[in-house]
Amino acid sequence: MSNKVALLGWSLPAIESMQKMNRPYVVVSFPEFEESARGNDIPFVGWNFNEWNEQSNSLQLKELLDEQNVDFAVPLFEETVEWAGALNSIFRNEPRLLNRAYLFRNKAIMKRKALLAGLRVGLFEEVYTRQGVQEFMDRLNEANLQLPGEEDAWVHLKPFSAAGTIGHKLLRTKKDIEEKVVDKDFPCMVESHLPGKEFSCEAFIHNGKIRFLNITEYVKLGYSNFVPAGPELEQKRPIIRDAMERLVKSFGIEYGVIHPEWFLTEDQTLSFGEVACRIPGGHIFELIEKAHGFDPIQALVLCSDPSASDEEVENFFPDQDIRDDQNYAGSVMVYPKPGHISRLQIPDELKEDSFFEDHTLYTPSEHKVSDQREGFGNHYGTVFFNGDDPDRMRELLRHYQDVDFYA
Amino acid sequence: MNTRKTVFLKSSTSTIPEQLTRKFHENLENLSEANPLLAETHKKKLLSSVEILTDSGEGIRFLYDHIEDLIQGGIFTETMWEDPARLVPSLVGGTLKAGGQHTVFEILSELRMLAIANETLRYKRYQPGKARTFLEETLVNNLDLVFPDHSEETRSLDDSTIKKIRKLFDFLLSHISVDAIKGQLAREIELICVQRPVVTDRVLQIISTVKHEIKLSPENDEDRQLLRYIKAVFAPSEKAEELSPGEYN
Repeated sequence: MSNKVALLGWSLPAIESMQKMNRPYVVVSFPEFEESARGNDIPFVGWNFNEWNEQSNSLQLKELLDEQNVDFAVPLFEETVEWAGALNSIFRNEPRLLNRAYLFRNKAIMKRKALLAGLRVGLFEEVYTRQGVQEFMDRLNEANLQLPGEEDAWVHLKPFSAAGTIGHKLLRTKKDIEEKVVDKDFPCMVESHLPGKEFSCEAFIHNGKIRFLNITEYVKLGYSNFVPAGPELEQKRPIIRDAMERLVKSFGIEYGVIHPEWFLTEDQTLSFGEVACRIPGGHIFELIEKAHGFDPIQALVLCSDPSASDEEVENFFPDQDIRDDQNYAGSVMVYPKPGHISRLQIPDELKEDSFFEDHTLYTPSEHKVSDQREGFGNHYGTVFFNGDDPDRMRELLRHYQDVDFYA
Repeated sequence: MNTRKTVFLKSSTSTIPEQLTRKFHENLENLSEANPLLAETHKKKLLSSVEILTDSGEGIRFLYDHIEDLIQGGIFTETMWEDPARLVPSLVGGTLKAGGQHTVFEILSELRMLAIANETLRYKRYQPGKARTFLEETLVNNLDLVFPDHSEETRSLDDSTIKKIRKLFDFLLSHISVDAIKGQLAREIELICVQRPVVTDRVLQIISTVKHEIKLSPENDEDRQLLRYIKAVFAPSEKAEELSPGEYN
């Protein structure tokens, strides 16, 4: 009999995957979802993740989960990561699991840990005032041997613990610091701009070993990507794998999925961006399923279960991380363009393209609440592609990410 | 000259791409199996496949053949088209012309209606005869879509919507001949004339369309009524019949 998982967070795709997996589960999320859960036969425990105090913390939640015979917890969203860490530390009697969860919830701590692991990171600092940001930019300019009249070094400002790109500000000049940074941003982390091509990995880890490593190629951050990466990135798999193993080892990750972002320069320098241990955005899991043929949510649950056997885990994944006859799955997220929006118009050439699969731009039912959570604001929907040529895929995504679907 | 026959006998030369039917079936299966709470995304994807199918005659035929599967999968659930008994023919034209997903849903709705009329689909509270009447009234209310070449209105629509509407009506007319609606047309003309205040535009439009598009025979009872209306407008006297309006003046 499989161990029972508590899924922390309300995610319809995750619930759907669990229903097909034939494993016991319970969904833990805000009480407002209880009615929907009960009405649709979804095992549910209501919990307010936003409160953490003497009366409402992981001990109380664990008691509720004990009533449901839960054995382990899996975080689905950024805000549930420390809850899962706290619960699992009690389930497994390993206090360090909670500390480890905090690694993922603070971008500065995470970068320090990566640096200590010998991974290349940019220059970064925790700052508390606008002046702190200015001085950071000065230090970068100094390191770049900036002459008068030359451009300032770019600085990225990020909140410590927001998901993805929420709150991320790119400051290209001193003037940007004046105009774009507000008091509300502090305290936060600032970091230097990392050179190179940005991409992400999704590593499925069980018993401390990476069982499957996917590389996702970003075409435009927040808009379009495809899985697996094209040959240029795939060729770098050995370097990437090595860095991933160092990351897993140094962070002490034993069970679950991590989603780190990296930057790769032409001279093979790999820089660490950041890492999350919840379901990635940008439809990446959906693309993984299409490209590799397994359900990554089921894989996440399986890998998160300490009692799952090696054999069970090995049998779940394909033999190879990339096949000889690999097909590529891509997506373009469509956002409203500024200006007057009237009617949806799907270009004929898109409909006729052999790589086009389908899209989610229609709104068939009148009163559905969206459960999409995106750092770029709510996108209208997504266009999906599938094909055997990664170069063509890249060109298609580049083209359609700029097309205006609302004439 | 009557070009009607040419239009609705012409069949599309395109074949439906295998990728499209595969995605259609995949998305339909996902929708059918989904818990209602989880159905939304699957429905959106299925709609995107359906939309492409409405671009061609073969696609419309395909959708008609699969209409029962679509209904059972829940395509109309929580939409305006859920219950056929609540639909009215007078709104069909406007919805078809609206574009986007409205056009797509309305097309599916007409295909469902046709399936009920042809008795390939059964609905407890909606009889085949009622479905047939609905479709005939729809045709009568939308002569500009049945005979688009004579209409100014369709020119303002985007190409994609016009194409879909034409494919739909070609298909409907392959099942419901124009002859079947002649009686309805005559009744429609009477009904309009009986209403007050008197408005003649629509009546004149219908009569004009009938004159140009439909073959009528003086031997046929139903046709005679329509012929009288045509004569009343275009040739009130024998002399008028011999001359064109320009010459008459």
